[in-house]
Amino acid sequence: MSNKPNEQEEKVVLEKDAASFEENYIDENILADNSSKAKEFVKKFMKRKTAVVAFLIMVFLLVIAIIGPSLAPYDPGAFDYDNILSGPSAKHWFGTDHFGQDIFSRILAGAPQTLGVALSSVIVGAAIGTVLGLLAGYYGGWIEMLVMRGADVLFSFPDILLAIAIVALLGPGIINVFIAVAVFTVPSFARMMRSATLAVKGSLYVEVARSLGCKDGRILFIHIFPGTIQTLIVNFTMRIGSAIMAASSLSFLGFGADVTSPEWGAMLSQSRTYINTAPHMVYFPALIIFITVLAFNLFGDGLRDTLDPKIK
Amino acid sequence: MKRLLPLLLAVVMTLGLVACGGGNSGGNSGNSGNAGGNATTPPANTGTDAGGAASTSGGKSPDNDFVIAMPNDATHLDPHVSSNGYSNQITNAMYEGLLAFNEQTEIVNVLATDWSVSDDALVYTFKLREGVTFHDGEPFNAEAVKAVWERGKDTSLALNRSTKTWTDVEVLGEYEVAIHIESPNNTFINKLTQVRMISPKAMAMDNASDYLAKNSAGTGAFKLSERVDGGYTKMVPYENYWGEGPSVDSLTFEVVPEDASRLAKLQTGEADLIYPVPVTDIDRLKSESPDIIVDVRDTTIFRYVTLNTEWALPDGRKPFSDKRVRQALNYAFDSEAYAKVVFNGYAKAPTSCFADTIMYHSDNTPYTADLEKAKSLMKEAGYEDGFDVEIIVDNTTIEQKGATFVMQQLSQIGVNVKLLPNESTVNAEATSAPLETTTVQMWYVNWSSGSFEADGSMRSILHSEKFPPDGYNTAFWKNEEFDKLLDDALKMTDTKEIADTYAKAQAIVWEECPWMFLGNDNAIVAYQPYCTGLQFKPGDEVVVTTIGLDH
Repeated sequence: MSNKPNEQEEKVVLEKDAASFEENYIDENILADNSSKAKEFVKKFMKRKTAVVAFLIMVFLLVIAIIGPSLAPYDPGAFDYDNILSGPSAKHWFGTDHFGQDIFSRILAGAPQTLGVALSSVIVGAAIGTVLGLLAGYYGGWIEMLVMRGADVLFSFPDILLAIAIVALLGPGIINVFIAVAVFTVPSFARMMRSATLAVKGSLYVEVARSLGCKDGRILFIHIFPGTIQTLIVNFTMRIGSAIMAASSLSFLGFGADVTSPEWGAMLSQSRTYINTAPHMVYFPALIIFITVLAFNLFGDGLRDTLDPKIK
Repeated sequence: MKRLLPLLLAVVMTLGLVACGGGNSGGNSGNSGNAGGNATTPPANTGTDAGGAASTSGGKSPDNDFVIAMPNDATHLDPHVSSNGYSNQITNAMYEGLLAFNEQTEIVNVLATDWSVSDDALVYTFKLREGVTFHDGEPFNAEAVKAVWERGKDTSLALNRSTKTWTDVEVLGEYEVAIHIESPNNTFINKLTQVRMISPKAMAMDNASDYLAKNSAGTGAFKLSERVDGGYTKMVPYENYWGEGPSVDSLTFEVVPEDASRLAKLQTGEADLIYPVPVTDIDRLKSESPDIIVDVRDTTIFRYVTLNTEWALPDGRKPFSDKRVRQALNYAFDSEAYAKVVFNGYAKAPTSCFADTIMYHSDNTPYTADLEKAKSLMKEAGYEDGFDVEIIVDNTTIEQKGATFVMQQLSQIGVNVKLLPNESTVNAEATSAPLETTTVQMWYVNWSSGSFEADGSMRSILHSEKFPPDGYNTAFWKNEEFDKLLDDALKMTDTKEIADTYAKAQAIVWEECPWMFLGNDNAIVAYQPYCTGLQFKPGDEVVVTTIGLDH
């Protein structure tokens, strides 16, 4: 079978008929029932206790990111020079930092920034990567060549180094961190989606759709894309963990968020010099980054195991 | 279940870390009574045999190799090329000038044995020390002084800054020399301490600086043995040194940028002396290693924020052109809290526009933090709602911390400061832009004068002829009376008169405040109890000429 859709066949059946044929002649009832599939998925997922816990933590963190700042007991920027570097207490749950600012309030206030950057950059990066991967896998030829070699080039740098290079080029700032993380998310999605596309492309139903004369766009997005969505979701979840790490690392290195803002990585960077004298300043931001990344990764793990038919 | 194990492990590891950290922090509350005394200068140790393996615990050094750890390397080993503090610390071990400052900021003879000045203050005559040789065997004499002046005509050298006012060097005899200057200049002697003598043979080479980067050709107590750029610089004592030299086998300046590793090197005995000690770790160092001597000294480093008086808001108003706004900023700033929060107490609140270790410093009434006064001044000037402003700052931890403190203080009077941290080289470019193109609104920076002169502490940063790119007056502040006082003082010879003139100049700066005056930090040196023969200059330099190790 050639990689290119057979142009001869397309001409035989009028294009507009192909779609209507599918809709009129394929009996919905003979397709698997979607609701029972979802039920089965939830049942299988619930068996993975770690993943469930991770999922709950994840949801909790997302809720914090949305409503957290308004829950903060103190203004995250309020300083108190008479109460600097004090350890955790009833008044200040996570202690105070080198300016006497409440660390608990700062972590809450920093959640939208840290999680927001990570989520949005992965969404953008994944969207671009997915489209590129689908096109590369489906069309092959020079598109595939271009996309895959491009991905190879980007892959030849370690993620964080690539991000640093991009930020160094664009200048520091939270927007540029977003761009950097998005850019290094693209190649992994492109590569993964290409292989998923190749696997689905050979399926009989795709062959049928093509022989019915469906347009490329329809085959790609209606027939092939749904087949790859499992891989996409799993990878997406896993990628958020590393995006949080990358965004925090960049802020830690001084490339990211404003040093005065309560971004978690920036907080860690500021507290670094106090690791011996006021370790609570380091532990709490570090712990929250650790828990967040772990939760996203474990959830992604559980999701993959649940969706993979080979693992029971 | 399989997944829970790694999770459990991770949690245990984290808890382990927390426990370790807790142990450390617990130690802080311990004694901090062992304040560092000043270094005494016991007679130099004559022993040179490092054979005996002494134990470290007995207060004896295990070897006779002196190691100094510092965060930065010398930019160049040619003392006529580099001039910053860390470079001087290293090059001054190998090179000497005619005169120098001692621990009490007094001028003392080094390669000169006597000097006098003519009545018109235009000719300085020096008698030179006899029998002094350079590391390459050349003799030190009047011709050598003249050769240094000749080399100083090259404006690309840092040396040129010290010798450009010289009009002639007259060789009066083998060991007598007269230096002529264009006009009376009270900073001549101060600047002369920065002029270090190099063998004329080495200076005559085609690429003298390249040669001097790998070989030393001074008269100092140490000569260069080996060097790795950015790594370390190792020296051995110069066998024909003219004075009392060191008793160690070698001296190594090691570059250790990370604060914590520098401190660890001292605590394990790998380094014999470290500079600077991170202010946040002093209490811990004192309680964990009570034997180590921590020496706190005043420096010439003065910290300030320039306020660009020509900077305009989007609506065209120029807030910093109004003296009341500039004063309000100073009243809003609590310099006592600054010293406490940013420098852990190791800094002083300012009373003038340069450090009190500099000659002719005079005290002014401090801007004691007074928010009400600051707010009313802002209101008078029509800025009761405040404004947004950007501050540029180097991206090191301590600089950012200081600038953040400024931001917090000014937020109290409605001035919203945005930090723009960047590499120092990027900032240097931004701050050297002329008035027409400058983007600098505020600049968090510091200044220090290695030659302890009042002129050097003000002219380049406050005189109106020193607007960038000719200087660092990034406040673009112009005050004719101040300029005149500074220019007049240069030509004076009577110290009382000089002091009065500089006091008036400082009073003007203090009243007009083109800057926010922040503070004057301490230098903190820590060293092993078995180090001997250390001397300190009032700046932050350690003089290593007579060092030894008790071993």
